[in-house]
Amino acid sequence: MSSDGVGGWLHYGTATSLTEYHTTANTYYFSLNSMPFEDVEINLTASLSNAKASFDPVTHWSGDVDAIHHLDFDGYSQMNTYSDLDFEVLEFKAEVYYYVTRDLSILAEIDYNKFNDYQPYVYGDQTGKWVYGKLGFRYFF
Amino acid sequence: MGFAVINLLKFLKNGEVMRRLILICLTVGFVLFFPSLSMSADRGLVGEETCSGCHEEVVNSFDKSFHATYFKKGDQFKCEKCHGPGSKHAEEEDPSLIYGPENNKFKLEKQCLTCHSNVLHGLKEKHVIEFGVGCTDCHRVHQSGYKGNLKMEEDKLCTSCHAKERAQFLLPSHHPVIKEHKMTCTDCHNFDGTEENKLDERVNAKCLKCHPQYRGPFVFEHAPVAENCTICHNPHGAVANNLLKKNEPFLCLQCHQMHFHATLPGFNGVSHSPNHPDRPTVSDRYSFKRAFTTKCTQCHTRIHGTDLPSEGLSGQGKALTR
Amino acid sequence: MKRLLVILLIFTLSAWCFAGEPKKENANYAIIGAHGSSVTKDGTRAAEYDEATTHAEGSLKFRWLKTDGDVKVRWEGEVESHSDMRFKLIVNKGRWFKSTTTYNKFLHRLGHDRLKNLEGRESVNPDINKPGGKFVTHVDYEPDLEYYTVYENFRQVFDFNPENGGVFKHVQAGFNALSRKGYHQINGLSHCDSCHIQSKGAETDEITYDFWVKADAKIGNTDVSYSATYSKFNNQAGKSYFYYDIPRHPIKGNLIEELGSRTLFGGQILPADYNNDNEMFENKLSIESVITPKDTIYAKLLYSTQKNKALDLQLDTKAGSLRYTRKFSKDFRFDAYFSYYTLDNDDYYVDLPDWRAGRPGGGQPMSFLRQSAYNRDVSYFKLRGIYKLDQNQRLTFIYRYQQIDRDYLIVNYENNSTETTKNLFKIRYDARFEGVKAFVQASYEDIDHPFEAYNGIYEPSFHNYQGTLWYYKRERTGEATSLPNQDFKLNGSFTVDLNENSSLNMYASYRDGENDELNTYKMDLKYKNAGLDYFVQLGETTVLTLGYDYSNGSQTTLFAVPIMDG
Repeated sequence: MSSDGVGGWLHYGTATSLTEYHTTANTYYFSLNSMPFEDVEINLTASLSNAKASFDPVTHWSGDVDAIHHLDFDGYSQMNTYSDLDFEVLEFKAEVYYYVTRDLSILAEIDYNKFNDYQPYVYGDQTGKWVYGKLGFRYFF
Repeated sequence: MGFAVINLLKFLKNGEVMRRLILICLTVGFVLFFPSLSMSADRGLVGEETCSGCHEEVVNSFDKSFHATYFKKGDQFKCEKCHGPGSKHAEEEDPSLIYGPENNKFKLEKQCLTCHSNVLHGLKEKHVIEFGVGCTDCHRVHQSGYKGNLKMEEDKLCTSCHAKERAQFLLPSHHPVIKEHKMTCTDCHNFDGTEENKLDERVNAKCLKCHPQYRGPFVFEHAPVAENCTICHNPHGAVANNLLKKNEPFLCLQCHQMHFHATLPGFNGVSHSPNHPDRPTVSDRYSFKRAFTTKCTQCHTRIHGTDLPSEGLSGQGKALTR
Repeated sequence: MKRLLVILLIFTLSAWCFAGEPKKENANYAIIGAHGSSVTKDGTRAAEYDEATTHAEGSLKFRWLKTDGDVKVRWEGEVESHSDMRFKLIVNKGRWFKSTTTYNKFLHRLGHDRLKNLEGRESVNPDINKPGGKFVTHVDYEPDLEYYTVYENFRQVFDFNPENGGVFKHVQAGFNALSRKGYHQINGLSHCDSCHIQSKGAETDEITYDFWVKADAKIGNTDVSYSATYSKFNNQAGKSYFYYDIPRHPIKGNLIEELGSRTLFGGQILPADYNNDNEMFENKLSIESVITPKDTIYAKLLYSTQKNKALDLQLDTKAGSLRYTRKFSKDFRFDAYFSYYTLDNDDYYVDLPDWRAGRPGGGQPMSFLRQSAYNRDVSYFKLRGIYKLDQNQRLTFIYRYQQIDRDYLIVNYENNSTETTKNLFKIRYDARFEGVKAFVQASYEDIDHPFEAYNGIYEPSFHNYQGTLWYYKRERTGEATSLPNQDFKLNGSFTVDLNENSSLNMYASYRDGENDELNTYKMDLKYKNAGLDYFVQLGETTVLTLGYDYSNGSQTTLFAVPIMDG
């Protein structure tokens, strides 16, 4: 080993690469409040959102990338995939009231959430569904 | 001074003078007072009973509203205090002849300002004065179902104009506002007139109200935390977890260089560290990339600051890993 | 659950013939029922703020409004489960008294980091797959534990509005208690003999109490308001501990003394990831004075202290602002606003052992005086003119100059400057007609040296260094930030009533920023948002809303990888 420049037994420096981060989201929203019959009230809401976040693969480096022969710069070309995100969130809620009398109504509610995780991150695959149901009475006084 | 008062009393005791004075007062009083008497008839007020004739439900709902507490019981002219005189409207049944939120809303809103004129404690600053939002855009005095006499639930009302924020609240990471209804917009945003006059000592103060565990002050700091929470977080919603504007490691690499071990190639196979035979290690060519370029806060856990030093002496304990 | 369904069904059928007209909104109501929910696969995100119970559980929701003379009561609540409920009780007595009591409790599921990526061994020669000495390993002691926080907030506010014509117009006293309970994931990192990350659940048990009083007085044409707030954060959870590995050579197991002299601890069980108690005391004074019907002055003063109780570290904030508003005419209003604040955090002496103490060539001092990044003086000056074109339209012009002068935090590598200055120009048009609302706003901000890591990236090449203190040679010289120094924003919204029964809202925003003053690269950022909402009333009883939102953003950064063979 020499100590007179390149090839010295300790070596420092930096390699750099310019990259770009992208986020895209599309969200659709729907709600309906209706009394189709005199004694039936319906409230519906739904939303669908797909959201992605990622950065461009890092393949071009500038700097002394070969100065230390065993360092691995090729492997960075996959780095972006470790933290890419791709989610789809669907939410639906339906409430139905049936008016037994002017003051008393029966309520039925269904909630449905669906979360799709197409690019699992460190939390593992977070794909899941949640279903909620409710029955009850509403009394106006 | 005493002398002047005695003289004045003597003067008033004179009967002729007193009679003239009473006459003058009556004349002046009549001249001043009569027009106002005739005006109350002329003003065209009809009273609550007439209003109830057509708008019974609205009149009844008002009695439940917060504003009703500002009127004395039995006050017949409550409706017309805000909606203006109703005689012509009652006669001709023309909606344009009364101040309503659909017709003559500007006139109706002027009536609001007779009570809500104070800027410092009022609601006017940003929305009303700068943006020109009107009272009736957000409030319906008869609507007592929602707090503050809002037209609808607070989150729905705010996001009916702030649609971009509504979309952000529907992103995978969000504060629980419009979907879950666990929080409201006014938990963070003040509409008490202080938005403009606020002492903006730190944007962070808003966040630290509910996240006081990050108040510190800590021994080992992270500079952007001192600067502004919104450098890293979008409070309304984000794609990445924890409301981060970008996912790690990109977020961190915007200000920091990569960990120097990230560039090491991985050994392909299973091995055991001689020091720790209980820790079998499955490795491949990209193992070090995955370990060091996926999520920085797996090791640098105390990114908001800590009082406990990290292990490495070379970094003077500042690495925020403990 | 089945029994409940049967009862409901019988009730529904028997009551069918008694069906009547519904009541409208504003009525008091109570909803009593039962609910159940279930999660398939992972519920962390699908039910992030919800309970998931496979059995039936009672539900209650109600609203009760009562007016009796000048007493008005509003009571509303919702109970879903023991960790999901909210109540609000407001009592008004005339204008002079108001009591507001709120209680809110909800659950937030947190993710569980599986740490799977933290495993590997270095190869010193990948061509022949020769193993090296560097290891990354992880262990999760509680892999099945679900992490969550239950927020619980109780708030009581009393408002008094004295009607006796005295000086005090409003007095408020309040109390707020916010608790956070549950479990969160903590990690411990040993990184000398190998990079070893341990993980387990730690109890979350924190509570914050806030007390405040506020008084508003009117003296002539001047409103004076004073408030004092005391806030106390208590961490009631026990400390969590990890065993940190003995620093030693990863393969040979030797060099314990040498590596121990380069680390602060090892071979010990030590606490990790713990928040100490803190407290805050804040005083605010506001003054608004109407000098003439056209001229108003507002002034504010604030003094607050924030203290880390375990270490006696204190951060003081002093702030003041002054604003002058003049209505030049019915159609033109002008504001001039000046604000200043200063943050002063105590210095803290971090006492550390010397570098490689007792080792040949060692002994360099590592202790230092921590000088806080918070410390700064910030001032800004703003001018705002609002011109009413007519009753329906207005134009707003804003200019703002801001200066941040930090005591220690450098934001410019070139001259070690700690100062940021910003110039903001904004113009806005608002229209509000019967049936049409619109605004369009454009702003441009020029920022001289926004916050950055002034030496965050980039180590210069260095080929012939032979010494052992390589840490000191790794000086970074590259500036890096996510913030622009030129920031242009354009956004607008247009809402129109298409007819009596329908309306359409469209909005769009665009942001184009860049930072061209970094010594490393030119940073670019672009954000676009657009959306529309269509609202229509179909018949007398149906309201339909359809919405679509699109957002797209991009930002560049320079990845910098340090090259070293150590």
